[in-house]
Amino acid sequence: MRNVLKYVAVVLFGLFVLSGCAGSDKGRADVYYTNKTVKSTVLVDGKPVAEVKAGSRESTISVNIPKGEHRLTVVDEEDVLLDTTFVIKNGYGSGNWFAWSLGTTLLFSSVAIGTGWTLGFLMLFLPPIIFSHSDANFNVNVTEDGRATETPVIERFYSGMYVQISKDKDFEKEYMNGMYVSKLDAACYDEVGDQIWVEKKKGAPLFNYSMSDVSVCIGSSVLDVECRVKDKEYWKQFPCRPTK
Amino acid sequence: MKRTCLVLLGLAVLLFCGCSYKSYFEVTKGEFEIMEVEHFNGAGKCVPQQTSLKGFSVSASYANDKYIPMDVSNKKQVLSDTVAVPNSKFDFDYERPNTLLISGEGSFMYKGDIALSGISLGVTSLPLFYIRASVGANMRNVEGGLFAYYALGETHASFSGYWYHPTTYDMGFTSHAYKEQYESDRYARDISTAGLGGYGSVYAGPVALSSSVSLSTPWRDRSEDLDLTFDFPFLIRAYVGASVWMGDHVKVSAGVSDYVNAEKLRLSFGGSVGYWL
Repeated sequence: MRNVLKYVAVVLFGLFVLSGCAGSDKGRADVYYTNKTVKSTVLVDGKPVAEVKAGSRESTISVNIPKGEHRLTVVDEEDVLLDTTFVIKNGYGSGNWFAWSLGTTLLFSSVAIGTGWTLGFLMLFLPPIIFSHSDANFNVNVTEDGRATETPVIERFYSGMYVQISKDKDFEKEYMNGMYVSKLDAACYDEVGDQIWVEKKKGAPLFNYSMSDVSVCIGSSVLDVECRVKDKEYWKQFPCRPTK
Repeated sequence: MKRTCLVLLGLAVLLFCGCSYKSYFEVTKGEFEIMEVEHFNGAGKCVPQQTSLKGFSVSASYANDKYIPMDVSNKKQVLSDTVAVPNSKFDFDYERPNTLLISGEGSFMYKGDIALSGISLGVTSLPLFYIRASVGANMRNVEGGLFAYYALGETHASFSGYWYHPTTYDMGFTSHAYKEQYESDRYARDISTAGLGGYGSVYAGPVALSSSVSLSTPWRDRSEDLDLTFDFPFLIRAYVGASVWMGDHVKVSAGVSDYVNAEKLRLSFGGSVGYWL
């Protein structure tokens, strides 16, 4: 009887893996939310998925949704702050599938080489932790005037450029003669919001600044730079590209 | 009072020590059935990005000799001045269940940008059940990766040799070390086997040349149960073959495999047909 149960368990586990993963048509959208002023509600396809309190510096909302086009709306009590669409593409869940396949491979490999089940189970869960990713990412920023803007994805990177940012406490800084000058990892100009988006370091959340707060510096090192506020024409060379 | 307690405690320790002892088995001849699972060779073609493959395949393999001789020796164990398990090489064979093996498996594979990962669930004519996972890279004309599996099934074994019993002390009596001859019937046991391996293929259009190497550990979880003095050896199996996609849905493959760490060449020939969606 015990043996039969063992076989049944193996077969059921296999069927679960095959049917559960192979049959999944859900993707995951992550909304990174910065809400400085108003209490707001996030809706996907008209259904509320989260409420975000005013003053939330950063919060993440993860939603499982089918592949296809969807509508993301952010509202406060009266106004629509953001209304946009996004697409969960064919690659839905691919990272998770890869991660679980790798984890299972590591689990059985661990058993095969004699390091055992305990280490194997640790390795089973390691890849899903590392490779888990969402199929759509949004950075929503509710500004002080109650307007919500969707943070762009910066696709152009400008190495070797230094910037000086005033009124900034979060940026990575190097001290130089009373001024804070930082090496720029990435930036772009958001013409709609008339603001500059910068990336602190690759993969980190983006921050937005008004054009007058960002000076572009020219020089060979952080100790030898000359900084100047640039006009709109200069920044138009580096347009932000939307997430969609 | 305290002294009496100590004496009683000492007697109890002696009593329990006398009751537990480890015996050893010197195998002079042994045949241990193994579990074989279907070869894994990847997709055998360039799979478009963000594509899933679901399929079922049936395979058969034939070997003209089902016994796989391995180089195995008992480890020396000294039990007394006059009794010791010798360090001796003996006739050890892994054994395929049959000269002809049939198996079937259902698989799901998904290719992202480059990575091709998959899970398969299979059954063979032993019968045994297995789960196999794979990860690899699938590119324009070449693919390669790793796989690992876990199999469960009922296998058989028979072995003969000598049981060695150490000197024991029990309730004031001494039993001196001795050995006795033993020959097992062919008996069945549930065992599990895990294996890991790597695969690689080169292909042009629908035609692919593939190879894979896998390492498995049959019977390794049973060494302790049987009081054996040796560790069951790893079994390394190499496969070389070719496959053809006939249209988008049918894949036919054939190849030859050998247990490369066996003492003698043990070729088996096989083929499989798969239907994929």
